[in-house]
Amino acid sequence: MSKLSDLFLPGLISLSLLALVGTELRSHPKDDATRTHIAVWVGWSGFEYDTFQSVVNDYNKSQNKIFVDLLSITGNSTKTLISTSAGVPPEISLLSAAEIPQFADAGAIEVLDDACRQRGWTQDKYVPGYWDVLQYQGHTMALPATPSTVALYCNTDILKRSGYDKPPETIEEMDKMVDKITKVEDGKVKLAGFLPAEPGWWPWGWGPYFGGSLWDGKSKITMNTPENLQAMKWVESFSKRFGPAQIQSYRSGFGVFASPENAFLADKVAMEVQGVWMHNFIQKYNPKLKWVASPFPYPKDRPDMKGHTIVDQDIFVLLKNCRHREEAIDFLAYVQSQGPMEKLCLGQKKSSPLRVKSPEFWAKQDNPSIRLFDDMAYSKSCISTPKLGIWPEYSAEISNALDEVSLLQKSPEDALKAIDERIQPKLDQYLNRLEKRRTAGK
Amino acid sequence: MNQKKFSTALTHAALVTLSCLFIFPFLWLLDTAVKPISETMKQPPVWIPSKFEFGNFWEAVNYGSDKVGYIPFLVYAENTVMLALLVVTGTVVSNAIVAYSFARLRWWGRDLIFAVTLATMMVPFPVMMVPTFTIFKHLGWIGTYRPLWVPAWFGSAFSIFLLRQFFKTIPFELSEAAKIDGAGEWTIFRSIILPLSKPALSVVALFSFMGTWNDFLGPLIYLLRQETFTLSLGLEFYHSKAGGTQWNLLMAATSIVILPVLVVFFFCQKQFIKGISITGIK
Repeated sequence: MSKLSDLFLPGLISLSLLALVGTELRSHPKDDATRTHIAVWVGWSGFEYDTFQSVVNDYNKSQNKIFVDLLSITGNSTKTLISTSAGVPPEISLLSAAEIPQFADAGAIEVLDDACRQRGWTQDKYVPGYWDVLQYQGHTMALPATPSTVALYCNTDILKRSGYDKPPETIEEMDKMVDKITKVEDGKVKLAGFLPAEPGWWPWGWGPYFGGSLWDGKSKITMNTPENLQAMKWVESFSKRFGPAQIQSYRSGFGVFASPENAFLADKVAMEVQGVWMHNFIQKYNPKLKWVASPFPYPKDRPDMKGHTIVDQDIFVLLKNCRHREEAIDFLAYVQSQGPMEKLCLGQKKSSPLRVKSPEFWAKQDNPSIRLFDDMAYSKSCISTPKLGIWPEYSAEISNALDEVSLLQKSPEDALKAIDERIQPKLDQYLNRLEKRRTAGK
Repeated sequence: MNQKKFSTALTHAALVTLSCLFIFPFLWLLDTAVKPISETMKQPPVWIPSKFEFGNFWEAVNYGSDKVGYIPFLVYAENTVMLALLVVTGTVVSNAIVAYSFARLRWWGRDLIFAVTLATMMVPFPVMMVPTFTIFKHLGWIGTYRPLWVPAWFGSAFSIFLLRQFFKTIPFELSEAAKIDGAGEWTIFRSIILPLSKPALSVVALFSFMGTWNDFLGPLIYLLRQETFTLSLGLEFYHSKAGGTQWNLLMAATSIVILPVLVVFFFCQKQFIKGISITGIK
C-alpha cells in the first residue's frame, strides 16, 4: 500500500507531462502556411453558427490565398475588447449594432468609409433601416451580418375569442383590445392582453413608439418630453387598470423565454413585442399556435408613424491593428455579396440586409411574416438605440424608471425628470471626454 | 433516554430536510436530462417525465455531429482533463513547497511576505484581466493553454494559506528528530511533512480540480481555436440566441461534465472532510 502511495506523485507528474505534450500539440496545429489566416469571432451558436460556418467553408474553398479561422464563443464582445486592448485583436468580430459607439469611442474598430467607397458598399445597396445603424459620427463603422426588426405578435385564437379578427392598428385600439382580452377573476389576472414588461427587452422603445426621442443627437437628453411622458403614462395605465401586485403575481408564473412555458407560447399573453426570431421559438415549442405579426401600433394622432419598428442587427466590425486588414476586407466583400448573404440570412431564418433579393430567397423562407419584417426596415420611423457610449447606463436608468412607474412608486413625470437629471451630467462628461480625445488626436 | 432519542430524531429530520434542499438542484438536473424537450420547463413542473429519454445523454455527446459546426464534446472533455491534470499537479507541488517555507522555516521577512501573499486574494480577477492578458501576449502564449496552467505552478494565496495552517499543526519535534538523524529540509518535507499532509493536499487538489473543471472566464479569454475549448465553454453551444436552448441535452451534457467532480469527491471524501476540519476552513 505504501508502495502504491509512493508511486502517486511520480505518476501524477508523468501524467502531467503527457498532458503538457497533449496541450502543446493541440494548441499548435499545423496550419496551411501557404494561405493567410484571418480570425473571425462570432457569438453565434447552434443553427446560426452552422450556417455561418458553411458560408466560411464556401469562402475558404472559393480561393487559395486566404483562410478564415472561425471562432464561435459566448461573450464574444468581452473577448474582443480584451484582445483588442492587449493588441492581439481578431481581424473581424461580430457585435450587436448597439455596441458600435462603445467600440468606436475606445478606438477599437476601423472606420470603413474607404473600403465602402472602393467596394461599392453604399446606402443604395442596403435596406435603409439596416444601413443607418452602421453609421456613427458620420462614418460607416460596420457592415451588416444578419438583420432583425421587431413587431407585435398576436395569438389569433385569443383575439378571435374576444371578437377580433386582426391586430390593432393604433395604440388606442390596442388599449381597448387589452381591456377586453384581459381576464381578472377574484382579483387575480388569468389572461393578459398585453404587458409592457413582457418580455421587456426594449423598455427604451416605448417613448419612440409614441413619437418621442431619447436625445437630440447633439448634447441634450430628451426624456422629459410630451411624447415620452405619454408613453410612460401608457405603461403606468396597465398597473392602474389591473394592479401592480396582480401583474407581478401573474408574471411570476411565466416560464423561461426559450421554453414551451414562454408567456406568449403558453397562451398567457395575447400580444407581445418580439423579433423575427420568435417564429423559430414558436416552431420549436408550440408549433400549433396560431399567430400573426404586425407592426407595433402607432398613436392615433401620428399616422405618419405607421409601420414603425425597432431595428437591431448583428454586425461585422474590422478591428484596429489587426494583422491582415486587406484580407479581412476581402472576406467581408464575399459575405456582403448577394449569394453568401442570402445563404447566411436564410440559414439564420432572417431577412437579408441587401435591397436586392432573389426570388429563391423568399421562396425558401419558412417564416410566413418574413416580408413584413423586411418591409418595416424601410420605414422612415425606424427606431434604434441612441449612438452614445453611455447607452448602457442610460438604458439601465430607463429600465429602473419604468419599474418604478409600473409599481406605482413614482409618477411618470418624476421618473422622466429623474432620468434627465441623472443622465444629462453623464452625457456632458462623455461628450467632453470625446471632445478632448478628438482635440488630442488632432 | 426518550428525550435523547427525540433529540436525535429531530437532528436527523433537520439534516435530512437540509440534504433534500441541497440535493434538489442536482435531482432537477438529472430529471431534466431524461425529459423530452416539451416537458423541460413546464409550469407547474413535470417531475416524472411522460417518457424517460435516456438517449439524451448519447445525443448530448454527439450533438450536431451531422452538422457543419458540431460540438466535439469528447475533444473538449480531453482538453479539460489535460488542463486539470496540469493545474492540479502544479497547485499541489508549488503550494506545498511555498507553504512549507512559510510554516516550518525561519527567515527574514517571512511574516511580511506571507501577509503580502494573502493580500493578493483581495485583488479581484477583472482588475488583473487586461494586465495579465498583456503579459501573456508578450510571452506569445495567447491561444495556448499556458496562461491557464502555468500560473498554477507559481502558487496561489488561498492554497498556500490552507497548507501553511495544516503544516503548522504537525509537531516540530518530528522535524527536529529527523534533523538529528541527518535529514535536510527537502528530505523532511518530502518524507515527513507530505505523507502526513494528505488530507490538506487532497483539499487543495480537489479545489483546484473543481476550479479548473468549471472555469469559464479563463478559457473564454485565452483560447482562440474551437478545437482547444474546454467543457465549460462547450456547454454554451447547446444554447442558441435565436433558436432557444436544448434544455434536456444541456442538462444531460452537464450531468456528464460534473460526473468527474462527483467521482473525485466521493473517492476523496474522507481525506477531504478531514482536511477541511483540521485546517479550520468551515
